[in-house]
Amino acid sequence: MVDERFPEPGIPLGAALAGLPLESPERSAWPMLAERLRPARRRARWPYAMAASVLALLLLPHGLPTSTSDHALSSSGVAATGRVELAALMSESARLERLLAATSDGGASSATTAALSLEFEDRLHALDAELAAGDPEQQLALWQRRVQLLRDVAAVETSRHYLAAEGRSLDVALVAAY
Amino acid sequence: MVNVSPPSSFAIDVPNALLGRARRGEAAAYEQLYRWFERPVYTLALRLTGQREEAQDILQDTMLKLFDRLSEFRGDSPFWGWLRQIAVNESLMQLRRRGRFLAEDEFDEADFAAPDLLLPPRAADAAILGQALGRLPGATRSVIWLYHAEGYTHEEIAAAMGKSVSFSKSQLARGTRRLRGLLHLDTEAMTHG
Repeated sequence: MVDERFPEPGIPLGAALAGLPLESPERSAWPMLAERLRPARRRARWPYAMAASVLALLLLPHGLPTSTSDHALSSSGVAATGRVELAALMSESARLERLLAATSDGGASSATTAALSLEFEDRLHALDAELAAGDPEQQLALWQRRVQLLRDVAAVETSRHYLAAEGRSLDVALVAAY
Repeated sequence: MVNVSPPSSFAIDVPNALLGRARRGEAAAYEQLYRWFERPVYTLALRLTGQREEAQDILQDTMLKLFDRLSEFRGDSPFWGWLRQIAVNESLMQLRRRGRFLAEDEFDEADFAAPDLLLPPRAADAAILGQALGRLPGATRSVIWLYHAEGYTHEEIAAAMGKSVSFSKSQLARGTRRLRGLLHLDTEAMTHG
């Protein structure tokens, strides 16, 4: 029984409110937020690719370098051939990007494809950063690597769609293959 | 009694390096920010709106705004205060959408006397106090929470709510009286000044 001459010590309302335990949401918002971030990552590489393309086009009238890469060019005739090759690579790169933009699910279908998608994004981002650096001696080789990477990813996407059409999963096919 | 504000649950020092990584678009940095502030944002939203589903939506919207506007954060004040203001704005906007803000003219000068309230330990129990808080009108509960738990001034509350300072003072006084009634307190024994 409380002695009324000595009332219970009081707790200030502010301290009592601030002392209420933190609440937790019933579900994490992070998966949705991560999904929203992913397109931002994809968009982030476009400026690099575009900048690299513009830079490469600016370099074309002055000719390409004549040493270093496997595709080194040593005469003006070959330089012209290199310009044609570079233009063809850029064109194919754009075509493959359009294809992937239309067919890729950005890794939404499974953890495996998500990991592949992120790995692809990272490698492409690194390549685009190198292209944006604008080293003229590396342009042709970098664009070749870019196109090859896009071809590889397109092959995976094509396989995924083919398997999905047959009611099978890329994850299962990967497990079976490896 | 001097009102010494207890530290806000938002008061987490965020390293500049982490913010820099987030600005560069690193998902892992964003995830770290989300993990740190998930519960403070959700709790604030829940205290202001009183609805778990709404608090869930506010958590999501606040974090999306964080991602979209991080480049606007200049670093001349703590990051947590900047984020908290976004969460407060989102919560108050939700209350406005539901028409849970009171009209400006529903008070008079006599309403301003807000006695400091001392709670006996039984009334400070989390379940009891949380329940009583939840029974207050949205605007009143928001003023009480922002003033007492987050340490906002009446001027800051008025600015955030788009109301006058008098509105904030009035809601604080009314809310304190309502809480005392809801908690069945002996007003004489528990009231100071």
